[in-house]
Amino acid sequence: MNKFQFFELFGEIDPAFVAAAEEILEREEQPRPVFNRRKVFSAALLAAVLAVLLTVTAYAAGLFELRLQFPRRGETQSYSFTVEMPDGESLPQTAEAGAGLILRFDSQSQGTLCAFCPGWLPTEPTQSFSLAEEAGDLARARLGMHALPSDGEERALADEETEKVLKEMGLSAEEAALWSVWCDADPALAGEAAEAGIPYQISLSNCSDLYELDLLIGGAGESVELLKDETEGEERTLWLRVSKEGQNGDSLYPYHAVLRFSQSEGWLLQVIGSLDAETLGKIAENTEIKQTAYRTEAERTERGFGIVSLSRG
Amino acid sequence: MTDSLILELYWTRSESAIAESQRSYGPYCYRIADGILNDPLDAEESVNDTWLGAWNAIPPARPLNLKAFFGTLTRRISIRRLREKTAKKRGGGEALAAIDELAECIPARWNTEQAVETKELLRALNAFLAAQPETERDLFVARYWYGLPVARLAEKFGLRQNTVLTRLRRTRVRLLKQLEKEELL
Repeated sequence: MNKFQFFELFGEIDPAFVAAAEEILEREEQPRPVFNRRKVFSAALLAAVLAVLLTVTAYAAGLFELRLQFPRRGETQSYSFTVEMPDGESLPQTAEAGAGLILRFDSQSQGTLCAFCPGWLPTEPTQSFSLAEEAGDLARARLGMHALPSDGEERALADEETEKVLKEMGLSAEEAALWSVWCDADPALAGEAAEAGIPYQISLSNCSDLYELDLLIGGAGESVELLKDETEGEERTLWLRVSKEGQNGDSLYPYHAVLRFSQSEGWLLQVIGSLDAETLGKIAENTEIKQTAYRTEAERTERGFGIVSLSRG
Repeated sequence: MTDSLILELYWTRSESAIAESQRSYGPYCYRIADGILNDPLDAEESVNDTWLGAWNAIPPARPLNLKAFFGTLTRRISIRRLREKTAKKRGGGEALAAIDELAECIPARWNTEQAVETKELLRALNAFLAAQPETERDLFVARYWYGLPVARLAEKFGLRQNTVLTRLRRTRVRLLKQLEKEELL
């Protein structure tokens, strides 16, 4: 089967999928939105400051600071931000999110790209994206390419740029392949129901990602319980339980999150999943973090916000 | 005009079937063709070929979902046209990039000469898509069914272009893994 045949056959998929995508394509264009942990958009904080019930401040020994804020139960956080349109016009937007906990970062420094290598996992990951792949993505983004060209001059150009990025990282392709930027275990990939939980999902933010960022843990109607908060040397680890109350007062789809924060280097390791907090903590504890020499941008001058959630994709 | 009336026009061999199809579904089919061919004239020709294809197919065909039928037909015709253009080195734009990307999901052990059980492959594709989260699925279909550029998807889904690329790539990796498990040869 060649690529054209495959692409043509893809045209025969269930029309319901095509119609669902069509609905989105027919919609008005969406403003750049609420979240991506790497998103760079201008944002200003509105009402969150008023919603603080408890503030625990931990000043970093180095340049990075992390604060915890618990909004009142059921209270909605309101944020406004500006979407820069291609024609240079600014489009003010507002967004609201319920959150069980806000982590507020102040990273007054340019960061470097980080990656991780788990030393212990309860099961093999089903997906993993390496630093080597990240280097390829960064290289192609610089060249304005969408995909890795299969061959020819463009492929040579992409490979050359990838080598440059790896050089900036201070790593060989082989070394970069050993480090991950994201991985998870998802039973849906083993043919189980898509509704099945995700046992664990590991990701890492570096200090540029966290530059003046409010990270919301828990979505609308979800509550967050801080199980443990420990600081050892330059590192602080938080164990959290996120749940949503059902109509009968029972707890729906609880999941856990273990967040390991380096107060001197500014990275935040996020291990979230349906496994118990202790197991996720063991993953976090045994995960090695590497800071590459690749400089990441910290262009934000106003506060941004993001949401930590347990989701596929 | 309703779908059943348009179908009736085809069945009674009334030439107004084509005009009514164009009126109801012309812009939709044009968007599909233009997404793949990135050329207004070629796209227009593909849409005209769609009506001709429908005229030849109905009867005996009686599609249950006329929009899906026309859309699939336009896509198929546009891909064929794109193949011809590629062979003549006349470019092809964004859809070629989409075709190359989707080709990453073809397991290495399926060589280009080998026939794959297409019914089974289609079943596997549908099962895979059904298991994906909604947004990932919509993005994937918008890119690989409609062949739309990443920049346009970023605007439509309210995401950064790099985010679109990463999410598409992750879905492709998942699809490749899924297809590698299937016995379709």
